[in-house]
Amino acid sequence: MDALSATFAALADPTRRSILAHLARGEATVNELAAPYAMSLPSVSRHLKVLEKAGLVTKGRSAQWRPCRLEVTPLQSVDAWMAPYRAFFEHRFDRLEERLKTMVAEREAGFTKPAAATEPSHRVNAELTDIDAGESGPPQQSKER
Amino acid sequence: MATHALERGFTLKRVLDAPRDLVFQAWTDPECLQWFFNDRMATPSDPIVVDLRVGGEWRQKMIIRDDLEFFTGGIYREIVPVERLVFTWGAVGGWPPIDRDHPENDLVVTVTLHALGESTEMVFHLAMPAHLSDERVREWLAMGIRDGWSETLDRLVASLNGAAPAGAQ
Repeated sequence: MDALSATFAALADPTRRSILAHLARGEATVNELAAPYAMSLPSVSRHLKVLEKAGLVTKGRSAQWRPCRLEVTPLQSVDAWMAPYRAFFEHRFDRLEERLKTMVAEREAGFTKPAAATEPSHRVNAELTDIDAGESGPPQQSKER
Repeated sequence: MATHALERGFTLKRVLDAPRDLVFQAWTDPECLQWFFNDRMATPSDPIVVDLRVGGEWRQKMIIRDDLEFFTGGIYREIVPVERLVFTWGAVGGWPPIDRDHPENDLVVTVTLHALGESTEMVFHLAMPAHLSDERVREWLAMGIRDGWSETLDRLVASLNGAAPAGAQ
């Protein structure tokens, strides 16, 4: 299993996510982590092993308590992995904002269209090509990249 | 730290300067959905199709290059006019691919609209099933990245990730 798959597998469990949420507030011992769950120590240790294997948690070496600590690098990889999906919509929402400007303007000008009007249309409306050139328009195509 | 994803999925919020019936219309009226196109593409001759009922499809074609185009859109799961729209994101035979025989693999989008006076807070959530194989998701991702805005993505990934390259071990 590659690193990202291991991260996702580790994150796919609600108890482990809540352990990570706890560790996001600071280091904690296994005992402290087990306290809120009324869970046996071995059971918490098993979850911690999965998290350690995925690189999400490390344990201190010197201290007798061996406090557990959250490692953010794998989470950053998850964010990066998600980024294109996020970007797909972020980018489109910029255009939605532009579209809504014209819709609001049309309504104010009296071209009211009832919100419930949703009959499928076969007309392709090219009016948005103008808006594309607007202030939040597309990034310039750059050949050198 | 709390901003890092602990689940497969993410939430985006926007306050839009329009009443929510218009925002809902922008999501569901085929005459208003041009904003969803790739803005660098050629205009497709295929019409945007919206069948606004549960189980109905919304389809529109993305043209990326002369030799690369695909359908996207969704299949509606829940429709509460002006408040809430839930759909499986993608298209049968499109991107992301929807397999009607395997709804457990669906990427589910929930758009919730809250009225803020004459404005609207739009909360967008994309949920991905945790069990999806990584290989599968990578395939989708590879296709999505071709969607003509790789520079934007590069910038975004760089800003999210600091110095660490995307997908770093």
